[in-house]
Amino acid sequence: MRLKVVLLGEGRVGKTSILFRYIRNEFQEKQQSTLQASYMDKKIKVGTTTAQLSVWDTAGQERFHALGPIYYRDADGALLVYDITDSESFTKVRKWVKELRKIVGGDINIVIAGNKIDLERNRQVEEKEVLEYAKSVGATHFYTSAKQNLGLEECFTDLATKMVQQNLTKLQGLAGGFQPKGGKSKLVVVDDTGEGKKSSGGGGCC
Amino acid sequence: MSSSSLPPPAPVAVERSTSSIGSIGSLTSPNPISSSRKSELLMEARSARQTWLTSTSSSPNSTSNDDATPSVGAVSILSQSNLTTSNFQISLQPLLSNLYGPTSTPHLNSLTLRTIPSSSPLLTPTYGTTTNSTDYNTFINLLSTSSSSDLVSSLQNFVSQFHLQTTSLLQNRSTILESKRIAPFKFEAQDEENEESKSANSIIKGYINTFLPQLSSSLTFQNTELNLKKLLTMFIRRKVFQRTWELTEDKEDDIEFEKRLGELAFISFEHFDITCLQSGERDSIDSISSTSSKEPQSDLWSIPLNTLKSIGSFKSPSEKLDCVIKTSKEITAALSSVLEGDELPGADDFLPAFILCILKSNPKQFKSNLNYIQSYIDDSSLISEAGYVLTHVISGVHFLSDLEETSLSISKEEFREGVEKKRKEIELKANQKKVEERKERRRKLRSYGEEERREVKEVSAKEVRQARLNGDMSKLDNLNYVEAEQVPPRVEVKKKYSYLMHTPKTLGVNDVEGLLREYKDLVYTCERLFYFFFFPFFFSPTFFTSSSTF
Repeated sequence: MRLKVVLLGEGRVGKTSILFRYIRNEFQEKQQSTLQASYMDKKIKVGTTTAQLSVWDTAGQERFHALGPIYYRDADGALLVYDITDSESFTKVRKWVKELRKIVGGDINIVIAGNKIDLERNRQVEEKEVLEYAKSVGATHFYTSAKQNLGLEECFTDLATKMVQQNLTKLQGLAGGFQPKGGKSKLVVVDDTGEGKKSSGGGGCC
Repeated sequence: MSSSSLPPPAPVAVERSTSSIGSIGSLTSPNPISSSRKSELLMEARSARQTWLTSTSSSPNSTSNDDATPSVGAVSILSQSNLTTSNFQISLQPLLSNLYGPTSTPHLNSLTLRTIPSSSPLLTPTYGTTTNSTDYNTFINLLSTSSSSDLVSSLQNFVSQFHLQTTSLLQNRSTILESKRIAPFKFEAQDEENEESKSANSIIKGYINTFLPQLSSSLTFQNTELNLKKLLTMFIRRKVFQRTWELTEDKEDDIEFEKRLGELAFISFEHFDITCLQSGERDSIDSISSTSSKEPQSDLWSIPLNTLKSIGSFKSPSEKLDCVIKTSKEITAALSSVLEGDELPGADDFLPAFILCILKSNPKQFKSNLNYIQSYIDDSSLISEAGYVLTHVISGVHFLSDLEETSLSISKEEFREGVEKKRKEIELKANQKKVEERKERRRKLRSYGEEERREVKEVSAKEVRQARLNGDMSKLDNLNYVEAEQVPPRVEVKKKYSYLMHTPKTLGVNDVEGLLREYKDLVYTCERLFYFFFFPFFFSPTFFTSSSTF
């Protein structure tokens, strides 16, 4: 099973560091000279299913905003990163969620990561606000620190689990003939950002 | 032998001889044929097959610039055929082929004419990370063995059939492109569904799927460890390159994009604030404004530029894609070189760097190249990193097409100035090119006149040229003027041209009458020369003398 995950986040929130840290753990002593830090493949096991995760880093600068859909069009999951010391970066997350639901549809699994938790004292984004928001859009929320390697594993594992379960359900549905076609690029326009997600998983905010 | 069924038309000359030879090999009928003739024919067929296999493109109507030089393949046919012909021909043939080219040997005409590769196989660049070029060579070598002749016939058949089948698609395509020009609304690259390339692609894929089992079960290939699907796909893609390329090509769009990139060429690293090029802490916002950006070492940076530029030289979708992937790796390497420690650049740096790479290298027909890759690449090749990289390139092209000053760290005025400046530079260059071309044309005309008109002594063509040159000078560029002055006519002037050595300053109003007379003389002489060159049968001595009364 091949699953595509896009990494979204404003420039400088540290999403590249998250991926980089994740890669570095994965390939500890291996040579990295030709390694692309903005893309990675990872095998991940969820129950009995082995999934191949393709994680795509995206450029977060506002000037590339319009290009977003090219990247997340056929994604199965999205990891949205914000900086807890930068409230602007969280506003950006709301924008992305809205866009993802609109363009990719309800099927995409979303995990929101509040990065730089090591800088808790400079926190600018209210925890309560974030958790409520995450719940309302059917996303899971995690705190991470790329610097201290906190919460990364959990983040990706949770996202992978959700995606695998969703795909399995889809496949079963396909086999049972309940759904006409489970194409992942199915286009469902959902304007309401508040719409919850009925898919399994969820809940586990820290 | 003579009863062998008629093969289909098109690159058939090759086909016919190959298939007929094939039947000679298994011939049991008492049809008399000398053994020497038989081996001769076999040899011919074999070399024809070899030539066909190693030629990169076999579109029957492909026009190539380097057709003028005899191809390696064609020459090798000649040298091999020498072995089977008489001594006289052996000694004569190199001479003949030097003089008249490879098509001078009558009995080889049909072979060489149709199988001249549009470019030498030796010049075909092969890039070896994902497509192993030695594997490909082994594949071709195995195909050139005599036991593979049936396989090759099938391949040849397919290629010629493919060209027949897709002719109408090509017409459709040009109609669509034309209507696109006329249509006032803007076409979005993504919305544009190219049905023609799709159906061409399904023909190719269908063939590969049916032919592959045949290939892998054949005696020659059943025990090899080659990735036959990949190699076969590459082989077919190269064979049908010309046609498939034409089905995705959009020349005007390319020209527009190239022009656009030319105008944007002033954009540089600092306009993108590429963070990894800023020294200091990456996470600190303050550092961005306070540091000077350093570009990656210019030589490191020039590597991806050159790689991307070469994209047009590859003749299959997978090779073109490999070229793009290679570029991305080199960009990463260049960016990493400016980073501290073992940090690696993320997408925030990678995308703008890639955009700059596209912008600075401005490869020829870049959009068509991308269209070509997207139309013909197997989806399975696009999983993983390749898909990621291709997505970046496509988004980069989008970005550059829609670029406004607001998306850059640059003021409106600066942006406008930059574009204006580049536009002027481009115009200037174009003008210079025009001047160069004109000079070139003149030079050619002059030498043409020298060589072809040596026997006409009345008025030398060179003389006429020189006079015309001088005539042009008075109103045109100084550059040519100086040149014309420095190089006085070498050939003795039979007639008196009183204004030949004049400059604009030395001419007066009184000279107008004489100048006009000589000008008319010149015009008529030129006209006569023209008629002589192109309609020599009209040119009679009376014609010549009757009009030389000026």
